[in-house]
Amino acid sequence: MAYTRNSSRPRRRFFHRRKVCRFCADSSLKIDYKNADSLRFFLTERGKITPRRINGCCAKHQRELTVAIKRARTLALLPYAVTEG
Amino acid sequence: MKRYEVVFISLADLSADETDGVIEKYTSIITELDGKIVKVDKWGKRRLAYYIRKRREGFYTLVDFGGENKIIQELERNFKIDDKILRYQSVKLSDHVDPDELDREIEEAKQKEAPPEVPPAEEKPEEPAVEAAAEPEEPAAEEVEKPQEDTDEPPSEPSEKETGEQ
Repeated sequence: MAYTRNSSRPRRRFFHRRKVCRFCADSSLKIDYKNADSLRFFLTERGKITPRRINGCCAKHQRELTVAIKRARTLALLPYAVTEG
Repeated sequence: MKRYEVVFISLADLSADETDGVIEKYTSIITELDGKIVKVDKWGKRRLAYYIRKRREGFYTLVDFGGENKIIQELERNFKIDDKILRYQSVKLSDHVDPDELDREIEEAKQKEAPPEVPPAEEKPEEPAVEAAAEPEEPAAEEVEKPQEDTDEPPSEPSEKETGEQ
């Protein structure tokens, strides 16, 4: 049957590179809510926090990161949402 | 003794004297309640990421100190009342700090006064006193630049989930 043949085929054919958490790789990088410019890198243009599958962070650092971003948001260092147009 | 870090945003249209007065008011609250101020860092006027009380600018001040939680209670009570304060946030950096350790750090900070320098700013609860001096903006900005190339490609990868979001 076509269906079974289909499922046995490797579904993900595109190149998949395992990303390494950049905070684990470089311990000199610190997650700090006061440094909004470095946190901005982990936001989308809309101001949302990028998911782990995009930014490649490990669970531990993603957790720290979200806390830092949320703290920076309360201080108006980072936006909650960017609305345009 | 606990270690706290309080950032507050005061109105940007106050004169320099008035801003100093505001800062003085809150630092005196800390010292009156037996707190030890490690540093007072004026970040200066900054643009806010969103409007707070119809304002787009604010004067940021960071106060790093050691003390008991009654200081935080008193500070926040006053922040709430004060019209000149747009926003405040207090963060506990560590639960147990040795007062002598703090004194030493204050001394160090005084000695380093000549070259403007930012003492420990990390949120490491395990270490009471973080010696590593985190320099502010400049180096961090560079650090972020290189990883940027990495994450340019990946967004194309999980196509099903991404479209679901929109």
